[in-house]
Amino acid sequence: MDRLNFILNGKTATANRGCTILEAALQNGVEIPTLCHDARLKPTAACRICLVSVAGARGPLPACATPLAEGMVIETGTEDLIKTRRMALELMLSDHYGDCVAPCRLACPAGIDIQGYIGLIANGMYSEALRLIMESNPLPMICGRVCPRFCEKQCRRNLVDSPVAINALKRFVSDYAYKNKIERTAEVRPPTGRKVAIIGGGPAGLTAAYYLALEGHSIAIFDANPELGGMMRYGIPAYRLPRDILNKEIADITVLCKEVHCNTAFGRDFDFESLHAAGYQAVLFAIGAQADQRMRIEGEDLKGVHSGIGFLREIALGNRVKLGMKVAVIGGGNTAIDAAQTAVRLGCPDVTIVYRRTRDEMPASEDEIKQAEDKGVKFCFLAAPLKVHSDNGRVKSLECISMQLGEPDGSGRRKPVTLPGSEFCMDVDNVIMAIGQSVDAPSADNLFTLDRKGCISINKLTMQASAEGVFAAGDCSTGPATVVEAVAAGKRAADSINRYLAGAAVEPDTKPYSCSKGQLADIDPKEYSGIQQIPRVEMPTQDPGIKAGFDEYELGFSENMAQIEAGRCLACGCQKAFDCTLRDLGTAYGVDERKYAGLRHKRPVDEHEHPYILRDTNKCILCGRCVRICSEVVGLGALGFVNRGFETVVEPALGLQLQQTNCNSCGLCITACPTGAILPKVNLPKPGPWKLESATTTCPGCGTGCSIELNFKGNKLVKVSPPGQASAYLCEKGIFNQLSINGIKRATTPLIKKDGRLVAVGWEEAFQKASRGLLLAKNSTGGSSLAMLASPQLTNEEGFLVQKIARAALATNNIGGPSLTPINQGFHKYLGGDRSTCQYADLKNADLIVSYNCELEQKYPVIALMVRQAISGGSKLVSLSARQGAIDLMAGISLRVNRRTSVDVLNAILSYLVTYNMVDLDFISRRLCGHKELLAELKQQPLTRLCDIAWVNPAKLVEIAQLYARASRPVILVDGDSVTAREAAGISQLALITGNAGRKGVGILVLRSGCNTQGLLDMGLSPDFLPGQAPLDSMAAKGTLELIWQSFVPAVPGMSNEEIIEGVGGSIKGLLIIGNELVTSANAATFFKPGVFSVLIDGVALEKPPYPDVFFPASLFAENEGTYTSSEGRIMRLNTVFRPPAGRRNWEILVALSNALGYKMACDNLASISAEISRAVLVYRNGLEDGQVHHCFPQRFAACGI
Amino acid sequence: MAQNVTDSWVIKVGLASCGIAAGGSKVFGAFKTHLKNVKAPVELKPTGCIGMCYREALVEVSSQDGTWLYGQVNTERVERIVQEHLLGGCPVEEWLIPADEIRSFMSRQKRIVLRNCGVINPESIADYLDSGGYMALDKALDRLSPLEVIDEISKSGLRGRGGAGFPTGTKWLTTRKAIGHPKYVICNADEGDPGAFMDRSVLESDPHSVLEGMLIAGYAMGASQGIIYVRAEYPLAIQRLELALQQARDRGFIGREVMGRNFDFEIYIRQGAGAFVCGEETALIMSIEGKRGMPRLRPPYPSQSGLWGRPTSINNVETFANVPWIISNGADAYAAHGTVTSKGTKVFALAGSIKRGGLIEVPMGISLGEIVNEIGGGTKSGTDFKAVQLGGPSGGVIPAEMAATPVDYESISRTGAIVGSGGMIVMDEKACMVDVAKFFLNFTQDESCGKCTFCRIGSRRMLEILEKITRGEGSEAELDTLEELAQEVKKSSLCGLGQTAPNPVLTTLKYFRDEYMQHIKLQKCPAKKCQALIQYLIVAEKCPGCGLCLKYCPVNAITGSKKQPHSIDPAKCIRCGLCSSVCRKDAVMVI
Repeated sequence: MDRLNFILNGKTATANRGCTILEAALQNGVEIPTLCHDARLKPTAACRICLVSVAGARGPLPACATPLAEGMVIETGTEDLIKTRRMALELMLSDHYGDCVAPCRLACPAGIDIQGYIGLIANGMYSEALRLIMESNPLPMICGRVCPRFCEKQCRRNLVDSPVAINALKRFVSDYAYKNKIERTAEVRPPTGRKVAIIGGGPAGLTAAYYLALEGHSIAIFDANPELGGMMRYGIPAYRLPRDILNKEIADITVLCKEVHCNTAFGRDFDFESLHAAGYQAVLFAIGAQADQRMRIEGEDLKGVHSGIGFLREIALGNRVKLGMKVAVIGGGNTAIDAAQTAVRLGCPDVTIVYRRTRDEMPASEDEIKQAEDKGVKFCFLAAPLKVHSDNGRVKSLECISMQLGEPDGSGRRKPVTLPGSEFCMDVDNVIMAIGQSVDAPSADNLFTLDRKGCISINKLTMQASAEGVFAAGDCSTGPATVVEAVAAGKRAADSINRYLAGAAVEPDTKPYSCSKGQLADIDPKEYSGIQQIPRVEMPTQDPGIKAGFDEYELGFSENMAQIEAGRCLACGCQKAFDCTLRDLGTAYGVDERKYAGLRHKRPVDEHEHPYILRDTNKCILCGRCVRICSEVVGLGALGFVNRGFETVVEPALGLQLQQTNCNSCGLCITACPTGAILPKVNLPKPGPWKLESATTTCPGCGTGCSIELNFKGNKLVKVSPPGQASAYLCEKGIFNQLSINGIKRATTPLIKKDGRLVAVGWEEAFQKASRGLLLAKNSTGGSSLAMLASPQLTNEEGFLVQKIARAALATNNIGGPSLTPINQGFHKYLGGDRSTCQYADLKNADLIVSYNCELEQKYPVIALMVRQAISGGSKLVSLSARQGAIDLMAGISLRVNRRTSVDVLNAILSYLVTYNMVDLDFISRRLCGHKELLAELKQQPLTRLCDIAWVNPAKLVEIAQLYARASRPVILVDGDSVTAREAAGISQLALITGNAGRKGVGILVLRSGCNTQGLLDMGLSPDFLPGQAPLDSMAAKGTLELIWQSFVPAVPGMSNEEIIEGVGGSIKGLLIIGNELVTSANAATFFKPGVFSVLIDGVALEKPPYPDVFFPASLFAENEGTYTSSEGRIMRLNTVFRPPAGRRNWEILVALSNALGYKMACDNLASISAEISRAVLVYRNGLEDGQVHHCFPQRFAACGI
Repeated sequence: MAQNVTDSWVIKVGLASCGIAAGGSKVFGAFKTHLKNVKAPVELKPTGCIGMCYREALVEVSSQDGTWLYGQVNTERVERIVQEHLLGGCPVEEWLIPADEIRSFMSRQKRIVLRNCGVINPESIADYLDSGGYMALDKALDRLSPLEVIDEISKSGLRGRGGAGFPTGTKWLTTRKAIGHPKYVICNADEGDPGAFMDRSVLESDPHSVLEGMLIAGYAMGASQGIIYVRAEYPLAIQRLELALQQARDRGFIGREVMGRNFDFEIYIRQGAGAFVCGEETALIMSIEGKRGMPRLRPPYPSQSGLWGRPTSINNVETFANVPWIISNGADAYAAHGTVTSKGTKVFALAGSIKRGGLIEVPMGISLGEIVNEIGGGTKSGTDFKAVQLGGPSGGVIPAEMAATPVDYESISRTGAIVGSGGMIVMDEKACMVDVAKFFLNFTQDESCGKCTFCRIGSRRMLEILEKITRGEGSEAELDTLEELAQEVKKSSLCGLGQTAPNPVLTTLKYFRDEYMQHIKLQKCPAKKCQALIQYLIVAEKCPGCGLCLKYCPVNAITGSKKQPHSIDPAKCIRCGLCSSVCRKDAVMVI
């Protein structure tokens, strides 16, 4: 091969001549980033990301479009290039209007994938939702109750009505899992042997413990309190956080830990040296901020004056605190509210909160304030305590001074200033001072230092303290904060400790780049004006009238409420977030889209523009891949560039909606888009995005046999893509039609007909009933009164079993299916079988392609794309068809033929070739048995003269005949569904006499619309052909089968499809139907008639009568396993992605049914079935390996009279 | 024919677009009417652009006694000219353009491309033939081999007059040698620079010279088809081209067996829909092919793979118009003009704040100052010129201090500007350089095809920064961003449009950075041009209280009672400047 030498980033390299720099670099393991390049398309060099520097060039050159030249010196990653690429990305992103990640997630300190879990809840996937939450937060039931919900403040739904009740949904799904005992802990890795000590069992410590334990480390938790939980236990009252919930979530974590030591304080009971001695390699301080802050006013130390946190702690410990009739609580935070409410619940009738600002400035959450008001708590705003007066050492009254609000202070709130002379007194029995907490850190200068506020100083990104192997997280390093912030810190500490223990550099994760539409205030609410208002589901609560007791106040959502609320989510984050090239590059190049901020286009998105495709031009970067793939590859040009300059936008022409254009919904534009501007619509209540699992299988859309990649989450199919992005072609049938599987209602048990209704029964009972019914018919009226109908979607293995049951167990050849085309006698006679004689790949190299009545674009779009590619590569197309399609415009000769003229046309061409001796005599004499007879037959036949065919131009026929006879690698495309035996004979003869069969690269491709029609014909699903398309009267074939099957094979030919259907209720007494929606409510009456015992094996149960006598729930696409045979004869494997809802695969049902019928199915697993197939089916003798092509290349063709 | 006239008159009326716009057609009609009574043999004919567009409508009267050029002729003046000059024999001195004005306008020019402009009747092939037209084609077909033609062009040193200045002979030779058939010759007449009208004038004044140039090019390169890509906004040029094509076809100069020789050549006209980017050669080809006009990466160059993937040579109107002259007069005659590397002459459209604006052709190497001050007569206001914008939106600004710069490809590019296609806009102190950069950038970013990131968004962001600066909201940091963007857009854009779009910004920043700084730091526009930074004031001492400004103010920002000094409310004022332009006492001041 011709190789070029060049220098890539200072190293010598070689690559093939004719490739671009981009390809050459890739061949040498250097990936050059690009957004506009697509291997399926000609280079365009629009995005300017792939610029590289080439020595001697005037400026940077686009690698995607610059051909490699001998001796080039190429640099791909100089600082200049990185700067250029970063600027290009930043410019693109400056006009990229969208949210990569929903703002709720960005607002969540723990970074929980909120949109993801709400989407999963909406789809009823509760355990997946919980697992997703637990990836970021191991305390979902606790946080679901006490979180201050930073997320909801940023919820874009605020612009429509009110925010989604995000936290209530989290609580719902975690409670649901608790109640239904769903396992929630993620998989624990094998033990690492490394030990971590966690000091403090509050939210930060517990979180760190959970994630470190999952990594396989050995964890010990030390806590000074009697029980774990920290402030969650000792600071939050039980009516907000019930103790069973708290204990359950703590227990789920401690079960993963090696040791838990309560009542054990650092510095008192153990120290760093003792830990070190015990072999702990890392220590995490998560000791919280539990010390009270003092007001420094007179009377603060009186009996009857409590600190907020001390008061709550006593209650939590179960101790009694004696309160008088009147209680004043000082402070405006949640602790103040909690203390006030607790006082009320303890029976105190008069509780007043004294706060120095107004209600609007209170840091406590609005819900909490509201609850306190409901409970009768009074508020005294704009008042600051000055002194607690006492009487005999007992609190008598609280002296306060009135305040007014002045200038905003550092926190942005208006600073209260005293109003001199406004002092007043209120009579109280107790005062609770809830004005905040501080860190009570042990002095350990050798381990860490304390900052100005008394918190442990750490690197905020890695949570490392000053000493090696010492970390700190939670309130002790930040001062008092929230549970969710502690969880976030605990997770971050766990990540760092994990790195530290692995000996890796301790650094934070690279934060993925996220583009944002901006803050809530920056967004024009008009943008959301089209969204229907749905009221937020209110949290059900205990009767507010009940004042005493500590039962949980908020009751949580029901499943129904959760569904409604989850449905309110706007799914702001981009569907492409997990596989967006633009975002990945943004992360890799550390971009900031605000650097070149300016006008950003905000164009409305028409969600109803297309049934499957969602375009969001706000995210378009104008790489033009969609435009180019639609015109260059598909040949439609449904999308184009509109306007100029900065106003350029990709739109369908003339302002049409996409579905009003000639778009054929092939979805290739989606596969081309490097960002989220063109997306598939997801056939689910909420689309995600989620990180998806994927598996490759075969498209059941038609017989072309394309590989498709199924992308799924749990048991839902989310999208379909070509396997190995950017290489393959697919069509509507592959990319979109398969998604409908999500919407199908499935039966989960066998059903039998009782009193005109279908009743669920066990498998065994159903098999018994089915076999009794069928055997009764067989025994009374003989095997020929039974029939089997199959759908073309059965796998080879299923099909083989079906006909084996029919022939061996039921002694009938009545085998067929309404959508199963019978074996074409024309092809069978001349080619030795009804199958293709060449492969798709031959189209590319064909110098002539003859398309015979195929309706390529409608029926076989992917074949149409191959033909189109072949034409642009220099092939010539001759199209003979009844109607003109778009591809005919590319044809060199396009001829209209119809049913009446088609045979005449073929005969005329044959006649011309024979008359003018344009036949391949050498081939004929060597390879054609009975060639003399064939030529004699052709000469004898009154072949049509060219000029005798009405409406057909004889000159065109001559041209076609000459082109075909002279072509060196011609391929004929035929529609196997519609071609008649006479046409097939003519086409075969044409190929044979010109020597265009039986060798590589030339021949006939018989296309099939049924996805496994070819395979089922080969498997013997035919009334008159045995497996391997062996005629029923072939004694050799029959003998072989009888030997393998140990059973007689009935000799009487079976009925045709029409005869079977005709005979139902008449001569047909028993019917076994296996199919994929072969029977629908619309045609059920044809099959289920009185007097016929009917068994239906199908994925979808009928919803209304008439019903079959027995129904077996079958497996559908993506639940099945086995193989298909594509139109080109290639074995294509199906992969099981989902479990069939009823638990059994079709072949398992068939084997069991056969056994029940008394014929022991010897082949009872997939391997043995395929082994038997390769013995019984001659052309499949090489087995059913994935990708194997079974072709008929007989040394000698049986042409005529043999 | 003209030299044979012994005792008759010839009257030529300049009827290119410039003349027609100034009322030339009406003048022509008036002459027709008035000449009915004149007994003497008078030939009245239209002609093209005479060059002194500032004096349109121009009428040239000639007899064996001499030639007189009347300027600013209108229908009312026609009768007196006929009466006094033609009948009375006395030229109307007061309307004649003074001889020294003609001399200073013309003496430094060398008219090769414009040799027939304003001389012949563009609608008459006979006129063209009389002036030696199609002789060059005849000579080439008769005496020169195609390679000899190319050799002659190469020797002449002719470089592409469209702007890039690529040697024409080299381009032709590459196309000649390229494998592929058929080959195409394309004439790029998609002149889109604001302020440029060279190609239009040539097409309107001397269409045959372009056709002849294309025919010679076709012969030299072995091409059989020529396409003139002309913008639809030039209806007169298209009309005269079509007429010329018909005439040439009728004479056997175009079509099968041109001039009876073994050479077939057909020329078609393709109208462009007015996208500036279609002047870029690859976009132009896309447009001819019926696709969206978007440039593609070169190589391959059109010479190798152009229209429909075939070898294609694209040359500008002016380049083609040079060709017949070079073939007729020889390469050496052409190369005698100009400098070592930039030979021959160049046509410029002199516009802006210039006393004598029009179409000129000068030998390469003449200094900018000579063009502005001597040919152009200096600025309109009479003050020194401040700068010259050369090369349209792709070009740059050259300050007056560099007036000595010789106009040749190399010297001009060293300044940061480009020779370009020939638009030359002269600016005086009233021009704000930030505003000028903004104007040109606004044009290019609007005309960007939208394909590549840097041009589409980068130039837009640059414009937004310039807008902020002219509003007084810019910062020094943004000025750095502007410069950074400009460098990167220039370096990394796909085609010439993007690569040159930052030139006006870069050159103004280079030569007039202080003006930017005044906008940013002092929120002042020294040229008093940027609306947001100026304020209109009425000087009480000068204001007679006539109320005219009050009447004209569209937003009622002016108050004042009769005979009392008026005043402007700056809050209401939208700075349209109407008050200042209507004030007869010069009482409105801009600060």
